[in-house]
Amino acid sequence: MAHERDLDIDDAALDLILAGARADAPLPSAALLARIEADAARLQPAPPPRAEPRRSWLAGLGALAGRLALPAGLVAAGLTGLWIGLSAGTGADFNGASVYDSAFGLQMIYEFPALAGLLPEG
Amino acid sequence: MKADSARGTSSEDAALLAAYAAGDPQAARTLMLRIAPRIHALAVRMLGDRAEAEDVTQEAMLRLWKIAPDWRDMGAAPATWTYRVAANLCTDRLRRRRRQAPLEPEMEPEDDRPGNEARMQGAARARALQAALAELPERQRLAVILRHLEGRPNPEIAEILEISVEAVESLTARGKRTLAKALAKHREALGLIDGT
Repeated sequence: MAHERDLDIDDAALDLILAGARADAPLPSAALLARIEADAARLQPAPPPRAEPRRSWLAGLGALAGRLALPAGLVAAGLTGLWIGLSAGTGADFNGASVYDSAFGLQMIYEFPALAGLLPEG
Repeated sequence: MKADSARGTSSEDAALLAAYAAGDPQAARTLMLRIAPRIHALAVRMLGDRAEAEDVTQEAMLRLWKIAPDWRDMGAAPATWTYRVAANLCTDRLRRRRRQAPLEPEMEPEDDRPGNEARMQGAARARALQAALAELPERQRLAVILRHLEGRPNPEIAEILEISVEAVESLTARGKRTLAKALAKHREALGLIDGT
């Protein structure tokens, strides 16, 4: 009837209509989602390259000795001589403790384990 | 939505966007499934046209992907920022439409298979609501959709529309009154003839 069309929708009825619409939200199509994903892949920055760990010159020396098939004992003896020469310049005693107490010494032991056997006690 | 869960969702979205920018291929898909359906629903209800709504959704998401590497503190959560972009895109399209020929709200095809009375009633209600929403001024329409159909909290709507919370409250209240008047013309489609 005509007069019924003129009635306002009350708050309760409006809330009911809105709740029904909320539960029935329009969903995106699979094609749209595929397009969005393709855009994302196209624009995605490349992951940063993994940094190679820096090799010390000692490790490089070890690798070179390996390539040249030099006996490890010979390389270790050479390095021990180098260490004694460097230590002499500082006036420090050369012994096992002084090698283990320095970063350079520890690195030499790590790279050339045979060196440990050549160190004097102390 | 409770404020705590809204904050949690926002920080999760921000973390996903950062992961996307860092090259995580799964992050884009997860973030898309969290944000795109909401943007799409807003655009469909604002524009009443699914093809245009899809374009708006794709464009808004495209802008999110583009800004991802530079996303620091944009002053809003990723979903809120994307809502704002989509709202502006919808407004632009509605203004362009007004300069061109007016577009009737898209009508769902009639489903006249027997035994589908409830579905037909549901579709008629959806059409009536869409037609009534189309009668609202744009800002009121945006506010009503975001508050009453998308269920966004007033502070977030304030961020999306870049107005105060008080202005949002006023806009939604006026929008709801205008909507009730517009819907009164569709009482039959809404099944309210008997006063139910």
